[in-house]
Amino acid sequence: MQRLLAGAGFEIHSELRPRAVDDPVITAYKRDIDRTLLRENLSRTAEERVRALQALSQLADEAQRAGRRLRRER
Amino acid sequence: MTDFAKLLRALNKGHVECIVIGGLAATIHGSARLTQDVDVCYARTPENLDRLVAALKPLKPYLRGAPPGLPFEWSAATLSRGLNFTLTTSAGAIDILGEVTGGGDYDALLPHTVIARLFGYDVKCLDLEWLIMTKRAAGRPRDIEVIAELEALREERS
Repeated sequence: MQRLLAGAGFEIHSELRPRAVDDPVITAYKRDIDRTLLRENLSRTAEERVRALQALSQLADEAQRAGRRLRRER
Repeated sequence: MTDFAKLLRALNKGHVECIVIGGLAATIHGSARLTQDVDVCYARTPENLDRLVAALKPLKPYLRGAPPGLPFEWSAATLSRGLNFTLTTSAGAIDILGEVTGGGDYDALLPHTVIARLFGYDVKCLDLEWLIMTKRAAGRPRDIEVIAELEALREERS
């Protein structure tokens, strides 16, 4: 097989990878994933995804600061 | 708050050999989860340690969570004495890892990367398959939801 492939200009590359297993816990969690969000993200470019993350991070930061301010004022 | 663009630009402008892993890699692949830091696996050659030190130096890296005033020298010598560092910088949090559980070092991960075009640079990012594998290998309970989402992404892409 190796000789045949070499003759055709190819070589076999092999690597060890853990066998993908169906984890029932992961499968259970997968049911709750909002796939509409994933599809929306997949329609974006990688840079748009990172920019959206940045905006989300900013929002989370502002919400945390607002929460801290509120607790101080009580 | 972490400025993802600023950190990625610093690493790329400094020609640092590194691979984006972790939550930011998940975002690049389409994850909808919020991550607060940049995780990279870096090559531990002496030249690359110098590049990494020079690239992040303007951002004043310091050990994250360490009490202020603790003596910490951001240098290639410091990096060569350690392996994985969790840092805070003026652009936010960055974890630099010499090795990734279940994935190995930079050279081992390199064949399993994809190139993402970000902010004008080609950024090496761990591919989805290996991202799932390393998350599984880490075995952290908090990663269960992450793995579920990454597997859902894989199904959506196929």
